[in-house]
Amino acid sequence: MNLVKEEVNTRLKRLPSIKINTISILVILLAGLLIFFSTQSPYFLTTLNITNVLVQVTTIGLIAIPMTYVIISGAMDLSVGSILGLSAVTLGFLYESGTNIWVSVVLALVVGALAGALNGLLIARYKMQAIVVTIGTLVMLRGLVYIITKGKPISGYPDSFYFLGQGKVLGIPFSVIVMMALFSIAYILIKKTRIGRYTYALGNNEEAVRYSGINVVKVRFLTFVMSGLFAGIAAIFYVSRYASAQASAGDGIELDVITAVLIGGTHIFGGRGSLVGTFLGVLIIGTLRNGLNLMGVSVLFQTVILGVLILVAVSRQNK
Amino acid sequence: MANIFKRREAPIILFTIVLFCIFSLISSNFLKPDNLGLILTQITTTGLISIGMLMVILFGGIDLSVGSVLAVVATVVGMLVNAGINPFVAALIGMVVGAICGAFNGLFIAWFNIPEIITTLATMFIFRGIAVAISGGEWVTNFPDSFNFFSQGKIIGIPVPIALFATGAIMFGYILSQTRFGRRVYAIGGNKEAAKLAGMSTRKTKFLVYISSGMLTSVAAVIYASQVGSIQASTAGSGIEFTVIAAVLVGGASIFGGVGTMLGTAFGVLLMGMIKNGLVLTQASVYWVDATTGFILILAIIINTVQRSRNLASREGDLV
Repeated sequence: MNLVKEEVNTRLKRLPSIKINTISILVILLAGLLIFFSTQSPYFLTTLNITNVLVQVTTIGLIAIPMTYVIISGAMDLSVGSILGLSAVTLGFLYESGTNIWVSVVLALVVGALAGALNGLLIARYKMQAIVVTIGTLVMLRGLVYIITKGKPISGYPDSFYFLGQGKVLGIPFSVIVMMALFSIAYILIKKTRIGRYTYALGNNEEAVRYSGINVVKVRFLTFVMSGLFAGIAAIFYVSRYASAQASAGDGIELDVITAVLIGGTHIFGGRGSLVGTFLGVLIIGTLRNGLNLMGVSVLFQTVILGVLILVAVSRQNK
Repeated sequence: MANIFKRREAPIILFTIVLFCIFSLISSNFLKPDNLGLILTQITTTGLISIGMLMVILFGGIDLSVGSVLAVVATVVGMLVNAGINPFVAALIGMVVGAICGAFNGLFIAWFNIPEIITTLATMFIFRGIAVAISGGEWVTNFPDSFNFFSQGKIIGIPVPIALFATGAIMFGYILSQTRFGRRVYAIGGNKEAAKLAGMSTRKTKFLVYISSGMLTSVAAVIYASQVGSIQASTAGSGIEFTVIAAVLVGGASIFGGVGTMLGTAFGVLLMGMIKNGLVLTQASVYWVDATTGFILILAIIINTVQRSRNLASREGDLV
C-alpha cells in the first residue's frame, strides 16, 4: 500500500517537472535560434523583421490551435492545407461573382467548417481512420479548388478587406492580435472546460471515455469542425495579406503545422500536449523559416530541416 | 461460379469492367489498341510502387514518401547515365539507393517506433530536398539512346515496362501468398500481438518490407525517367503516393491491415490508370483527375469500413 502511495507521489511530483522541462527546452531553443540568426544577419533583429515573422506565422499558428486539439484527442488532420485553399478560393470566387465581401468572408468560413464537418462525420460518426480520410479529402478538395479556379489566381478586393491581413491596431498587426486572442481562448477552453478535459481523455483511453457516458462522437466531431473553421479563418487572413486567392494556397502547410504541434510537446499518440508548447513551436518554425530565408537557404532545404525536426521531436517522445 | 463472386476482388474486377464499357461508349478513341497499350505502359510506374504500398498497408501502415524516393532515384540514375555509365549498372545503383531510402524509413518506423505517417511525412520532405540537392535544382535531361530501353525496348515481344511490372507483381504475389515472409506480413497486419507471441520478429519483417518497397519504387523510377526523358527533382513523382494508395485501397486492401491481395491491387492500378486516361480522352479538365482520385480514396475507405463492421458483426454472431 505504502509502495503504491510512494509511486503515486513520485509520479505526481514528476508530472509538472516534465511539463516545465518541455517548455523550458523550447524557450532555450527559441532563444538559441534568435541569437544564431542575429549573428548571421544584421537585418534579423529589427522591429520590421520581427513583425514580419509574427505576421507570417499567423497562418500556421491559427491552424495549429485546432491541430493541437485533434492530435491530443489521438487523431490527425492532413487536409488542413486543402481546406485553406478551398476557403480562399471560395472567398475569391464569391466576391468575383458579385457577392458582398463580408458575406463572402462568412460563407468562406462556413465552407471551411463544412469541409471539417465532412472529415468529422466520416471519422467520428462512422469510425473511419483519420489519416486515410483526411488524405482523401486533401486530394479531393485540392482537385476541387483547381476545378473552381481553373488554376488562375483571383485578385482585386476592396481596401476595407485588406485591413484584416495588413492593418495594424496600436502598432500591432491585426492578424497577430486575432491569433493571440484565439490562442488564449483555446487555452482556457482546453484547461477549464469539460470539452477540453474530454479531448485529453479521448486521447488517453477512448473506451473508458465512452463507458463514462460521454458523447465521444460529439467531442471528436467538434475537433474536426474546429479544424476546418480555423483553416477557413487562416485562409481569409492569407487572401487579405497576399491580396489574391491562389489555387495553390496552403499547399503542404500540414508539415509546418504538425511539426509545430509535435515539437511543442504534444504526444503523437494523443493524451498529452499543451497549447503553450504549440505556440512556442509555431514561433520556432516561423523564426527558423525567416532566418533561413535571410541566409538565402532554399525553401526545399527548409522543409528538409522541418522533416528532421519532426523525427527528432517524436523520437524524444518515445523515451 | 459462385466462388468467383465470393472472392474479395470480385467488386473491383466488376467495377473495372463496367468502367471499361462506359469509357468505350463515351469515347471512340478509348478502345483503340494504341490507347489500350498506352494505358498499360502508363500504369507500370504506379503499379510497381503499389506492390510495395500493398505490403506496407497489409501491416496497417502507410507510406507517403514514395513520390520523393522516386525523385531521388530518378535523379541519381539520370545523372549516372548522363555521366556515361551503362544504363543497367545505373539502374542497379538506383535500386541500391532506393533500398537505402526504404531502410531509412524502416529504421525509424521499426526501431524508433515512430508512427508510419509521421516518419514518411518527414522523409517525404527530406528525400525531396536531397533529390533537389543532388540535381542542383537543374533539369536532368538529354539521356543517351541506350537508356530508352527501359521505356521502349521489348523482351520477347513484350514492352519492357509491362514486363517489369508483370514480373514484380507475379513475384511478390507469390512471395505474399506462398512464402513464410509473406504469411508473416499478413499475420502481423492481422494481429500484431498474436504474431509476436507466435515468435515472429515484427521489426525484421517491417524493415524488410520497407527495403523491398524502396527497391520496387526505384525500378518504377528508372522506367519513369526513361519514359519522361527529363527530370525536375522538385516535382518528379510528387503526388503519386495518393494515386498509389487509392489503387491499393480500391483494390480491396484494408487500411486496418491484414487484408488485401496482389490481384486486387493490380486491378486497382488498372482502374486508376483507366480513369486518368478516360478523363483526359473525354476532354474533362486535368484537374478532375485529382478530385476523382480523392473521391475514390474516400469511397474505398467507406467500403472498407462497412466490410469490416459486417465481418465483425458476423463474428460476434458466431461466438453467441
